[in-house]
Amino acid sequence: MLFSFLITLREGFEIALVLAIVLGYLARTGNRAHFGRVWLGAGLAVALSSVVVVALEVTSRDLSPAASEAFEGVMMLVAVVVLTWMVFWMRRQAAGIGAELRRQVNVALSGSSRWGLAGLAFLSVMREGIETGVFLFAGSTTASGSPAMFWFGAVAGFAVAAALGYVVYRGSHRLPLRQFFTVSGIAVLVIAAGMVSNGIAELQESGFIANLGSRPWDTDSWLSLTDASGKFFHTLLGYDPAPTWGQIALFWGYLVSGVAFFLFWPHPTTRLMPAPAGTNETPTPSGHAGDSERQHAR
Amino acid sequence: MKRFVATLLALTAIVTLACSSSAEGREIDIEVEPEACAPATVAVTPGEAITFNVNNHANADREFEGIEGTRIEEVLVPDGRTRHIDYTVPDATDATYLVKCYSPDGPTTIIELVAGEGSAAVDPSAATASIDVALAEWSVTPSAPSVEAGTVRFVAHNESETMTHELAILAIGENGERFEIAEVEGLEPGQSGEVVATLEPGTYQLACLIAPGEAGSTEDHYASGMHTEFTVE
Repeated sequence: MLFSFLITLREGFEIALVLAIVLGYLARTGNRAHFGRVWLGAGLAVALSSVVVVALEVTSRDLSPAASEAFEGVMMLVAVVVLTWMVFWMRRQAAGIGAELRRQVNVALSGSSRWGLAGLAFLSVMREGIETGVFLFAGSTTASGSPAMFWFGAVAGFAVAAALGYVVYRGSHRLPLRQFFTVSGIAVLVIAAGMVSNGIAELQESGFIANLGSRPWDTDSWLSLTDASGKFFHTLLGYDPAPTWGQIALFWGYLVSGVAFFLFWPHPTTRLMPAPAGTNETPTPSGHAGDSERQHAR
Repeated sequence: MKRFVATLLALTAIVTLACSSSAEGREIDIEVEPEACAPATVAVTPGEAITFNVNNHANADREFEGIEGTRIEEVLVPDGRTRHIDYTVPDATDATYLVKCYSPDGPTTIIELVAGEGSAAVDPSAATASIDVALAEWSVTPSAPSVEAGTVRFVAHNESETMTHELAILAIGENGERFEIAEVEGLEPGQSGEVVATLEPGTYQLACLIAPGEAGSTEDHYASGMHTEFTVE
């Protein structure tokens, strides 16, 4: 039971975090109407990966390890592109928020970005859906405790992950708007940087690309990927005890340049001034946050 | 803001603690060489905790993972490194668990973890019943379709004029999976051999598991029809 619980908690938490940030963003910008699109994307991915998993079970065929790893690696790198796009899209919206909140955001959402959000939710779920599904199916047939307990563990893991995502979503409402954009943007960049490293690692493992250089260190004895906690940091932050030079360079290159651009690259329409320290530290109900932002923006 | 950050930190701490349970057990060394991983068979006890020390000398990265339901998540073992992998054997007796030691574009070794007492532990003189089994292309024919539970002696006769055969006694699991519990191997044409197994009531199969490439065969003997149901009452 614990085994399946940990797997679904780990995979589910990453998905929940991304969805919480996207939904939090939509809620804060008065775009709750577009929640449906995000859920549609996630729902489609659940349906599609279920179909694939059932098809694999029925034909009792296994994905070849090379193919499934390459698939995951490519999906991760595509997800990085979409996440990066999302962060900078959000940043552009944030720049105009002080002036005319609703119109700005509605204009942005009328374009391809609506489908971008659906696509993001789809990718987040699809990426791990097939593998987790295949794994759960296979694992439930081994006699160690009953299959019922095994599935209970899996469902409980997803439930706890969803609950954590909900806490993040609710918590994001407490942040003043500006901080919400900054914190969630950096959080997404950190998650995406982890996916850069993990995506490269999957492609290396699959043999799709050669190892990008040697592995300069090994911290496995300190925090091992065979431990559940190491696996958790691996999934969420891209922790790898023995990364190749290529993984290291691309992880840090992406993270440093991403965060630097996000924080310091002046956007042409940016008019926001730094909020006084006092207002930043006080949890502000969301309704008032917009008002205080508006004052500072003028 | 502070409360939010504090909540997040607390959640992270809880999740980390919940995830860091691990039990270390009997150590089993797995040596990874360029062509294969060894040993290919490991005898284990039901319910036992095991730690695999996977030492990679293959001059290339390898992966280690449970397949067909064995609960070991995929672990990358980089070239020249060692990884310690914990596994608890399920409680079921007479079961085999498979672990794959491989590179996706290179050699693969399937390591069998065999749980429970095989035929070696059975005293042949304790046999309470004897069944003759005729092996031929492509059939397995026992002298009786069923036997009473207990220690049973199987006397296999290879009636083929050209082919090597074997007799395996297979238990059938809840989900239809087959576990080999005893066998007599490498019977040349005309040769006979014995195997003794202690059998609980249930449904079993008597089969020949010779695969293409094994014992000079180009056919899969099981798939060609060399298996029959056998009942223990």
